[in-house]
Amino acid sequence: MKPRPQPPGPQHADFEALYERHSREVWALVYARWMNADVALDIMQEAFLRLWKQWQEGGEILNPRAWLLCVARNLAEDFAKSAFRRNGTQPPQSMNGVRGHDPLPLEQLERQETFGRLRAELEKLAPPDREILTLRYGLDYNASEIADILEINPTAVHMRLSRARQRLAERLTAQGMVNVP
Amino acid sequence: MIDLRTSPTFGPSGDELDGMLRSFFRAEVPDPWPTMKAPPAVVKFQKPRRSTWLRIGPRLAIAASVGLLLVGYLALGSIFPKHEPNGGINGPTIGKNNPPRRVHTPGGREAFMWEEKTPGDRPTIIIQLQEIKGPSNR
Repeated sequence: MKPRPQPPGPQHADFEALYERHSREVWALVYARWMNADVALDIMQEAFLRLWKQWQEGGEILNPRAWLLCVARNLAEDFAKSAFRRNGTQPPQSMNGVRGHDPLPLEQLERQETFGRLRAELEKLAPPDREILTLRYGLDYNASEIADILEINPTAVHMRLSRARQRLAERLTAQGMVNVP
Repeated sequence: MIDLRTSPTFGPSGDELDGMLRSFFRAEVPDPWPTMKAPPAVVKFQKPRRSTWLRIGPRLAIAASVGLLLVGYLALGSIFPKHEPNGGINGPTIGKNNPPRRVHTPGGREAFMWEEKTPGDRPTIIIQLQEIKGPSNR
Protein backbone atom coordinates (compact mmCIF):
# COMPACT_ATOMS: atom_id res chain seq x y z
CA MET A 1 0.00 0.00 0.00
CA LYS A 2 1.20 3.45 -0.80
CA PRO A 3 -0.08 6.82 0.42
CA ARG A 4 -2.41 8.65 -1.89
CA PRO A 5 -0.73 11.77 -3.24
CA GLN A 6 -2.00 14.94 -1.62
CA PRO A 7 -4.37 16.77 -3.97
CA PRO A 8 -3.11 20.15 -5.06
CA GLY A 9 -4.96 22.92 -3.29
CA PRO A 10 -4.88 25.14 -0.26
CA GLN A 11 -2.32 24.15 2.31
CA HIS A 12 -1.61 24.88 5.96
CA ALA A 13 -0.43 28.42 5.31
CA ASP A 14 -3.58 29.26 3.38
CA PHE A 15 -5.71 27.88 6.16
CA GLU A 16 -3.94 29.83 8.85
CA ALA A 17 -4.09 33.02 6.83
CA LEU A 18 -7.79 32.51 6.33
CA TYR A 19 -8.24 31.94 10.04
CA GLU A 20 -6.34 35.12 10.84
CA ARG A 21 -8.45 37.13 8.40
CA HIS A 22 -11.95 35.88 9.08
CA SER A 23 -12.12 34.06 12.40
CA ARG A 24 -13.21 37.13 14.34
CA GLU A 25 -16.14 37.92 12.11
CA VAL A 26 -17.24 34.30 12.09
CA TRP A 27 -17.04 34.37 15.87
CA ALA A 28 -18.98 37.64 15.99
CA LEU A 29 -21.90 36.27 13.98
CA VAL A 30 -22.22 33.19 16.15
CA TYR A 31 -21.75 35.24 19.29
CA ALA A 32 -24.55 37.56 18.19
CA ARG A 33 -26.80 34.54 17.88
CA TRP A 34 -26.12 33.08 21.31
CA MET A 35 -24.47 35.88 23.30
CA ASN A 36 -22.01 33.31 24.54
CA ALA A 37 -18.33 33.80 23.76
CA ASP A 38 -17.30 30.19 24.47
CA VAL A 39 -20.04 28.66 22.35
CA ALA A 40 -19.14 31.09 19.59
CA LEU A 41 -15.50 30.02 19.79
CA ASP A 42 -16.41 26.34 19.59
CA ILE A 43 -18.69 26.85 16.62
CA MET A 44 -16.21 29.12 14.87
CA GLN A 45 -13.45 26.52 15.20
CA GLU A 46 -15.79 23.79 14.04
CA ALA A 47 -16.58 25.81 10.92
CA PHE A 48 -12.87 26.19 10.17
CA LEU A 49 -12.27 22.49 10.75
CA ARG A 50 -15.01 21.68 8.26
CA LEU A 51 -13.46 24.00 5.75
CA TRP A 52 -10.12 22.27 6.20
CA LYS A 53 -11.74 18.88 5.79
CA GLN A 54 -13.49 20.07 2.66
CA TRP A 55 -10.17 21.21 1.26
CA GLN A 56 -8.54 17.91 2.15
CA GLU A 57 -11.22 16.02 0.29
CA GLY A 58 -10.57 18.10 -2.79
CA GLY A 59 -13.74 20.16 -2.53
CA GLU A 60 -13.55 23.50 -4.27
CA ILE A 61 -14.69 26.50 -2.26
CA LEU A 62 -14.88 29.58 -4.39
CA ASN A 63 -15.55 32.04 -1.58
CA PRO A 64 -14.16 30.68 1.70
CA ARG A 65 -15.37 33.66 3.70
CA ALA A 66 -18.98 33.30 2.57
CA TRP A 67 -18.71 29.53 3.02
CA LEU A 68 -17.45 29.94 6.58
CA LEU A 69 -20.14 32.44 7.50
CA CYS A 70 -22.84 30.20 6.07
CA VAL A 71 -21.55 27.08 7.83
CA ALA A 72 -21.15 28.98 11.10
CA ARG A 73 -24.73 30.26 10.90
CA ASN A 74 -26.01 26.76 10.23
CA LEU A 75 -23.97 25.33 13.09
CA ALA A 76 -25.32 28.05 15.37
CA GLU A 77 -28.85 27.04 14.43
CA ASP A 78 -28.03 23.37 14.97
CA PHE A 79 -26.76 24.32 18.38
CA ALA A 80 -30.23 25.67 19.13
CA LYS A 81 -31.71 22.25 18.44
CA SER A 82 -29.29 20.49 20.74
CA ALA A 83 -29.14 23.18 23.42
CA PHE A 84 -31.63 21.42 25.66
CA ARG A 85 -29.63 18.20 25.52
CA ARG A 86 -26.41 20.05 26.31
CA ASN A 87 -27.82 22.10 29.15
CA GLY A 88 -30.14 19.51 30.57
CA THR A 89 -33.13 20.94 32.35
CA GLN A 90 -31.26 24.10 33.38
CA PRO A 91 -31.57 26.89 30.84
CA PRO A 92 -28.17 28.43 30.08
CA GLN A 93 -29.37 31.84 31.26
CA SER A 94 -29.66 30.53 34.79
CA MET A 95 -25.89 30.10 34.89
CA ASN A 96 -25.26 33.76 34.16
CA GLY A 97 -25.91 34.76 37.74
CA VAL A 98 -23.48 32.24 39.18
CA ARG A 99 -20.49 34.00 40.65
CA GLY A 100 -17.23 32.87 42.12
CA HIS A 101 -16.56 32.85 45.85
CA ASP A 102 -13.85 35.47 45.73
CA PRO A 103 -15.06 38.94 46.73
CA LEU A 104 -14.92 41.42 43.86
CA PRO A 105 -13.96 45.07 44.06
CA LEU A 106 -16.91 47.44 44.09
CA GLU A 107 -16.19 48.85 40.65
CA GLN A 108 -15.95 45.45 39.17
CA LEU A 109 -19.23 44.48 40.80
CA GLU A 110 -20.96 47.53 39.40
CA ARG A 111 -19.52 46.90 35.98
CA GLN A 112 -20.56 43.28 36.11
CA GLU A 113 -24.06 44.24 37.13
CA THR A 114 -24.32 46.80 34.33
CA PHE A 115 -23.05 44.29 31.83
CA GLY A 116 -25.45 41.67 33.13
CA ARG A 117 -28.41 43.96 32.58
CA LEU A 118 -27.10 45.08 29.22
CA ARG A 119 -26.66 41.44 28.20
CA ALA A 120 -30.21 40.69 29.28
CA GLU A 121 -31.53 43.52 27.11
CA LEU A 122 -29.31 42.58 24.19
CA GLU A 123 -30.68 39.05 24.34
CA LYS A 124 -34.14 40.47 23.86
CA LEU A 125 -33.14 42.15 20.60
CA ALA A 126 -33.53 40.37 17.28
CA PRO A 127 -30.41 38.47 16.11
CA PRO A 128 -29.83 40.85 13.15
CA ASP A 129 -29.67 43.75 15.60
CA ARG A 130 -27.18 41.87 17.74
CA GLU A 131 -25.11 40.98 14.69
CA ILE A 132 -24.67 44.55 13.64
CA LEU A 133 -23.95 45.73 17.17
CA THR A 134 -21.38 42.99 17.70
CA LEU A 135 -19.60 43.77 14.46
CA ARG A 136 -19.61 47.47 15.17
CA TYR A 137 -18.69 47.50 18.85
CA GLY A 138 -16.97 44.15 19.30
CA LEU A 139 -14.80 44.15 16.21
CA ASP A 140 -14.89 47.93 15.58
CA TYR A 141 -15.80 47.36 11.96
CA ASN A 142 -16.82 50.32 9.85
CA ALA A 143 -19.95 50.52 7.72
CA SER A 144 -18.40 49.17 4.55
CA GLU A 145 -16.83 46.20 6.35
CA ILE A 146 -20.13 45.36 7.98
CA ALA A 147 -21.91 45.79 4.66
CA ASP A 148 -19.47 43.35 3.11
CA ILE A 149 -20.14 40.67 5.69
CA LEU A 150 -23.89 41.07 5.82
CA GLU A 151 -24.14 41.52 2.05
CA ILE A 152 -26.05 44.76 2.27
CA ASN A 153 -25.10 48.28 1.25
CA PRO A 154 -23.45 50.73 3.66
CA THR A 155 -26.51 52.94 3.79
CA ALA A 156 -28.54 50.01 5.05
CA VAL A 157 -25.83 49.38 7.64
CA HIS A 158 -26.20 52.89 9.00
CA MET A 159 -29.95 52.52 9.08
CA ARG A 160 -29.93 49.15 10.77
CA LEU A 161 -27.34 50.18 13.29
CA SER A 162 -29.24 53.31 14.15
CA ARG A 163 -32.46 51.35 14.64
CA ALA A 164 -30.74 48.67 16.69
CA ARG A 165 -29.23 51.32 18.97
CA GLN A 166 -32.58 53.01 19.24
CA ARG A 167 -34.36 49.80 20.22
CA LEU A 168 -31.66 49.02 22.74
CA ALA A 169 -31.78 52.56 24.15
CA GLU A 170 -35.54 52.28 24.60
CA ARG A 171 -35.16 49.06 26.51
CA LEU A 172 -32.39 50.44 28.67
CA THR A 173 -34.44 53.56 29.34
CA ALA A 174 -37.35 51.44 30.43
CA GLN A 175 -34.96 49.71 32.79
CA GLY A 176 -33.80 53.05 34.11
CA MET A 177 -30.26 52.48 32.90
CA VAL A 178 -30.05 55.39 30.45
CA ASN A 179 -31.77 58.71 29.95
CA VAL A 180 -33.24 59.58 26.54
CA PRO A 181 -34.25 63.23 26.07
CA MET B 1 -27.57 57.22 33.97
CA ILE B 2 -26.41 57.63 30.43
CA ASP B 3 -27.48 60.59 28.37
CA LEU B 4 -28.42 59.75 24.78
CA ARG B 5 -28.99 63.22 23.47
CA THR B 6 -26.56 63.02 20.59
CA SER B 7 -25.08 59.81 19.36
CA PRO B 8 -23.51 59.83 15.94
CA THR B 9 -23.41 56.25 14.88
CA PHE B 10 -20.01 56.32 13.23
CA GLY B 11 -18.86 59.64 14.52
CA PRO B 12 -15.56 60.16 16.26
CA SER B 13 -17.15 60.92 19.62
CA GLY B 14 -19.58 58.27 20.70
CA ASP B 15 -21.87 58.87 23.60
CA GLU B 16 -22.01 56.87 26.78
CA LEU B 17 -24.19 54.19 25.25
CA ASP B 18 -21.55 53.72 22.61
CA GLY B 19 -18.94 53.53 25.29
CA MET B 20 -20.92 51.05 27.29
CA LEU B 21 -21.57 48.88 24.24
CA ARG B 22 -17.97 49.07 23.19
CA SER B 23 -16.63 48.06 26.58
CA PHE B 24 -19.21 45.30 26.89
CA PHE B 25 -18.52 43.72 23.51
CA ARG B 26 -14.76 44.11 23.81
CA ALA B 27 -14.88 42.35 27.13
CA GLU B 28 -16.70 39.51 25.40
CA VAL B 29 -14.16 39.11 22.60
CA PRO B 30 -11.58 36.51 23.70
CA ASP B 31 -8.26 38.10 24.51
CA PRO B 32 -5.79 36.82 23.48
CA TRP B 33 -7.44 35.56 20.38
CA PRO B 34 -6.93 31.79 20.12
CA THR B 35 -4.73 30.56 17.36
CA MET B 36 -5.70 27.61 15.26
CA LYS B 37 -3.35 25.41 13.32
CA ALA B 38 -4.51 23.30 10.46
CA PRO B 39 -4.86 19.71 11.59
CA PRO B 40 -2.27 17.31 10.22
CA ALA B 41 -3.30 15.92 6.91
CA VAL B 42 -4.76 12.47 7.12
CA VAL B 43 -2.73 10.18 4.90
CA LYS B 44 -5.11 7.86 3.18
CA PHE B 45 -3.86 4.50 2.02
CA GLN B 46 -5.35 2.90 -0.96
CA LYS B 47 -5.23 -0.75 -1.91
CA PRO B 48 -2.98 -1.57 -4.83
CA ARG B 49 -5.03 -1.93 -7.94
CA ARG B 50 -5.16 -5.54 -9.12
CA SER B 51 -4.82 -6.37 -12.75
CA THR B 52 -7.88 -7.10 -14.85
CA TRP B 53 -7.10 -10.80 -15.09
CA LEU B 54 -6.75 -11.10 -11.34
CA ARG B 55 -10.08 -9.44 -10.85
CA ILE B 56 -12.12 -11.45 -13.39
CA GLY B 57 -10.14 -14.72 -13.10
CA PRO B 58 -12.20 -16.26 -10.30
CA ARG B 59 -15.43 -15.47 -12.11
CA LEU B 60 -14.14 -17.03 -15.28
CA ALA B 61 -13.12 -20.17 -13.37
CA ILE B 62 -16.61 -20.55 -11.93
CA ALA B 63 -18.22 -20.06 -15.34
CA ALA B 64 -15.88 -22.66 -16.89
CA SER B 65 -16.67 -25.16 -14.13
CA VAL B 66 -20.40 -24.81 -14.67
CA GLY B 67 -19.90 -25.22 -18.43
CA LEU B 68 -17.83 -28.36 -17.93
CA LEU B 69 -20.49 -29.83 -15.67
CA LEU B 70 -23.15 -29.30 -18.31
CA VAL B 71 -21.02 -30.77 -21.11
CA GLY B 72 -20.17 -33.80 -18.95
CA TYR B 73 -23.80 -34.37 -18.10
CA LEU B 74 -24.84 -34.29 -21.75
CA ALA B 75 -21.95 -36.55 -22.83
CA LEU B 76 -22.72 -39.16 -20.20
CA GLY B 77 -26.39 -39.01 -21.11
CA SER B 78 -25.59 -39.80 -24.69
CA ILE B 79 -23.21 -42.66 -23.80
CA PHE B 80 -25.62 -44.29 -21.36
CA PRO B 81 -29.17 -43.97 -22.72
CA LYS B 82 -31.91 -44.10 -20.16
CA HIS B 83 -33.28 -47.68 -19.64
CA GLU B 84 -37.02 -47.73 -19.49
CA PRO B 85 -38.70 -51.00 -18.49
CA ASN B 86 -41.80 -52.12 -20.41
CA GLY B 87 -40.81 -50.17 -23.50
CA GLY B 88 -40.47 -46.86 -21.90
CA ILE B 89 -43.15 -44.32 -22.21
CA ASN B 90 -44.62 -46.12 -25.20
CA GLY B 91 -44.98 -49.45 -23.40
CA PRO B 92 -48.06 -50.76 -21.60
CA THR B 93 -48.92 -49.30 -18.29
CA ILE B 94 -50.84 -51.05 -15.61
CA GLY B 95 -54.20 -49.49 -15.07
CA LYS B 96 -54.81 -48.43 -18.62
CA ASN B 97 -57.05 -50.20 -21.02
CA ASN B 98 -54.28 -51.44 -23.28
CA PRO B 99 -55.11 -53.23 -26.52
CA PRO B 100 -54.62 -56.99 -26.54
CA ARG B 101 -51.14 -58.13 -27.43
CA ARG B 102 -49.77 -61.45 -28.40
CA VAL B 103 -47.70 -63.20 -25.71
CA HIS B 104 -46.25 -66.66 -25.15
CA THR B 105 -47.44 -68.68 -22.20
CA PRO B 106 -44.90 -70.63 -20.09
CA GLY B 107 -46.11 -73.72 -21.93
CA GLY B 108 -45.03 -72.24 -25.23
CA ARG B 109 -48.48 -71.53 -26.57
CA GLU B 110 -49.58 -68.24 -28.01
CA ALA B 111 -52.20 -66.12 -26.31
CA PHE B 112 -53.68 -62.61 -26.24
CA MET B 113 -53.23 -60.66 -23.06
CA TRP B 114 -54.97 -57.42 -22.17
CA GLU B 115 -56.07 -55.49 -19.18
CA GLU B 116 -59.47 -54.30 -18.13
CA LYS B 117 -60.34 -51.86 -15.43
CA THR B 118 -63.67 -51.95 -13.65
CA PRO B 119 -65.33 -48.57 -13.17
CA GLY B 120 -66.13 -47.17 -9.73
CA ASP B 121 -64.47 -45.50 -6.78
CA ARG B 122 -62.14 -48.42 -6.27
CA PRO B 123 -61.35 -49.72 -9.74
CA THR B 124 -60.01 -53.25 -10.10
CA ILE B 125 -57.55 -54.17 -12.82
CA ILE B 126 -58.24 -57.53 -14.43
CA ILE B 127 -55.60 -59.10 -16.66
CA GLN B 128 -57.30 -61.20 -19.30
CA LEU B 129 -55.47 -64.04 -21.10
CA GLN B 130 -57.03 -65.80 -24.07
CA GLU B 131 -55.33 -68.65 -25.87
CA ILE B 132 -55.03 -68.32 -29.57
CA LYS B 133 -56.34 -71.42 -31.21
CA GLY B 134 -54.78 -71.80 -34.57
CA PRO B 135 -53.02 -74.34 -36.79
CA SER B 136 -49.83 -74.12 -34.83
CA ASN B 137 -51.64 -75.14 -31.61
CA ARG B 138 -53.38 -78.13 -32.97
